Amino acid sequence: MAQHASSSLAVPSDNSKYVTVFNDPVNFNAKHPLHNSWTLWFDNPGKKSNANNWEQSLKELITFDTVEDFWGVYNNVMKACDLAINSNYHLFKQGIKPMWEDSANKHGGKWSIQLPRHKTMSEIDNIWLYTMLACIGEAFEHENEVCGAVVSVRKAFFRIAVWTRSSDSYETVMSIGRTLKRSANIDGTLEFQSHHDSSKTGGKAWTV
Amino acid sequence: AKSGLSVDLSRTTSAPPSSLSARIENFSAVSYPSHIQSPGNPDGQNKYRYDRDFLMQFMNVCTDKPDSLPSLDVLGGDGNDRGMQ
Repeated sequence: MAQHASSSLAVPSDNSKYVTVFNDPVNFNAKHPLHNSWTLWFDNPGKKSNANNWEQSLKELITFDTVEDFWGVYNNVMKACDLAINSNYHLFKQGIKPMWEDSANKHGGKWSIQLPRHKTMSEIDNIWLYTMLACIGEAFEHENEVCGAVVSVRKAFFRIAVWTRSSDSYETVMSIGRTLKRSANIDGTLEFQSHHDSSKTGGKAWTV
Repeated sequence: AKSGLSVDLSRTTSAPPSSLSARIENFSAVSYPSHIQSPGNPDGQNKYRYDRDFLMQFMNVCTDKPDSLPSLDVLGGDGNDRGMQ
């Protein structure tokens, strides 16, 4: 099972003695806390995909709660564009499983966009990175509404999505979509779909 | 080392960082080097909030692999070396 990235909670006796990784990349004594703890999951169900073996193929890689630990993870896992076809990264708040059945997700939905493979790989990597940074940096106005983000590698495209906790408030959902589009430098159109019922938006997709 | 790993090793810092570290609670108590943009006052409501430019500054500094990160083998990538910048 994945373990929590090390970040002991010892507080220096004198706050003015904070030494950040910028001050001393080896002997720093303080890290930048994230507002939430985030868990990175990975799955590659392979070709014979069904609900059962999908859940078995889902792996919890690591949980982190500081900026420094996020980058330690990011710099030591494969870039999204190097993952095998059909695999996914899921970055979710700790305690939320990256599946719509989870109680945090089941009333929610997702903003998503498909990026064709002819986009440059670095562009796709950056959109995924910026999506994660928007999540961990709490760029979204409605603090409790974001559950996580997913990048899906498919034969013909990459899909990037942000999952929401609810899907009934147009204003809330649109706010998340607009922030995602801006934060991740997405120039295409994002579409929102609730997990529960794709017709929930009245057959008319919400887009930004 | 398999696939993308070899590239990564050259980027690690020379010694492991302190594993005993505090969570910063008061940013005004931090003296950032002059070339580093501080997070400003990310707060207002006791919330840690960081913009992308601030976060990106850590990218080339925090490169050590966390001890608890599983081996890359589980990721089953396509084995090319494009991954690490």
